[in-house]
Amino acid sequence: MLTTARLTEHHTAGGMSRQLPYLSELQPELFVEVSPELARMRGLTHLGECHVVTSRTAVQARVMVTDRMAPLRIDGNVVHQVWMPYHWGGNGVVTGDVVNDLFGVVADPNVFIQESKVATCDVRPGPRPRGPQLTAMISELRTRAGITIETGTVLSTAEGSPHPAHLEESNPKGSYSGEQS
Amino acid sequence: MKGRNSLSGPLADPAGDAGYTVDHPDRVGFFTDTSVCIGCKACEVACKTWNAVPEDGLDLLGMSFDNTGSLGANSWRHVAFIEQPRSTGRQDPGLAGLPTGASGSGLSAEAVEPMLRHAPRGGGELGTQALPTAQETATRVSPVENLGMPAFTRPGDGHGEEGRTSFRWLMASDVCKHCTHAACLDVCPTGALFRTEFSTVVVQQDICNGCGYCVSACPYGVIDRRPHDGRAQKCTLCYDRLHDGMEPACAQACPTQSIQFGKLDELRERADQRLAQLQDLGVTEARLYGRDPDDGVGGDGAFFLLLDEPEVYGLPPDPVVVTRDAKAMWKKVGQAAAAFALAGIGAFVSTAVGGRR
Repeated sequence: MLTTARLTEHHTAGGMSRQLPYLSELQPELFVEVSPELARMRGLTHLGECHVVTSRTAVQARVMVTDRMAPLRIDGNVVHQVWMPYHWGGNGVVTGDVVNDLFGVVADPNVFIQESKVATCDVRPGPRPRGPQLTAMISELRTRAGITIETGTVLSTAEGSPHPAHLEESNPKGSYSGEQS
Repeated sequence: MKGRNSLSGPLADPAGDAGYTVDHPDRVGFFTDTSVCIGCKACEVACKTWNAVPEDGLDLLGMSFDNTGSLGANSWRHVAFIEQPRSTGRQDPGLAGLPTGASGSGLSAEAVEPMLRHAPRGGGELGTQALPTAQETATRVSPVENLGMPAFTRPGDGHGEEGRTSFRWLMASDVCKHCTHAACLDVCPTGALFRTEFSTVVVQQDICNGCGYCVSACPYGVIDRRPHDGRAQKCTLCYDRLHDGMEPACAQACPTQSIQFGKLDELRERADQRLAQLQDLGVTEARLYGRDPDDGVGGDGAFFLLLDEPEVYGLPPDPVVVTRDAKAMWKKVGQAAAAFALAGIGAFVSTAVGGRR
């Protein structure tokens, strides 16, 4: 189970703070925090390279083994949790993979920002595949897990409330016409 | 030792001892109260910004959130992060038998320790190298005594690693101690290091010739040479700001007043009060470090309130100024020289006597 959080030293996705050497040196590289138990289970070495895989993509990070990540016991099953900061990108004094790529592009309907960033994932030792190999790996994993474009997509609206039907063809301007449509 | 140019022991007025007239300013320093440090590293950034200290390497060190590692020529403030399997603050007041040494369970120690050696700077030279092995952790006596009661733990409690909930961070902002008897200053052959009128210790960059004697003399491992030009660098306690009646950049940036700047006498009084307050609250592990004028360096101008043994923070438990034993050593050298001279004269005399026969 993967979630993300921020580090004190960087600002949001790091677009500003990664340009500054004094902040970059304090948190220079993307890492993923794992429990010692998970590290042993998945063959991860402290400070070694690994990649975190979800159904969207894989990002590469350094391994940080810490007791702060304690496994959970849910319904009798041990569930391991990992977390990553998300302050890296392709430019700046320090660079790294984009952690937000691991999650769906979904907005919370109440606050209109990205929904809570939680997903199931795999953590594998070694650098991630690049280019077509990455796409192939993710595609193979999706097939194996039976994940399609419809998976987890639920369109839910309040009972009886007016809402636009999917009428893009007949209503090209996209203007809301309520009950009349 | 009292009087001019003393080499060790308590000293009321280091600036006066260095030759400043009686109207020099009072001695100033830092009191760093680590119990309220939140590890934001604002002190590191403020210091570098004000003093134009260059970036110190973009290395991930693997020591919790600490990627500075140690004090050095390009890091004049260093915030240490020590992870310990203990509760925070008053959740667990003053259990005896503190875990000294490094943080973590045996399993994480096994995973972290071997890799730290390959990390840049060997994992940053903090006190985290001496991690206990899994065997040591397993055989460590538990502070809780199992009385053999049928339901010693609550149902569903502590059946595995998910029971690992106690955790605390020790965060501490380390800095040059501005010793009463500063070894770096005493060994400096060029006079680049000098005692200021505020009783602090400062390097003059235009005079330093990069010999490096100060680096090996410092009992705390603070002063260091900058790789590209070889000159020694360390905290100046913002000498330039002091002249303008300002406090040092790190103390001004500190959001929790963990770093307090002021007259040393007042700071010592304040630290004693804070220590007494914490002791009253049951934080019996709180202690002052560098406060005592009778220690090996005559007391520090920058001293600390710690929540564990100094070694846990990477600080030496019993620092000693190199000049403390200088008098005794030169006495022995003198005796040895005298003995050699006597032996030499004796040899000539005996030859002369023998030649007559």
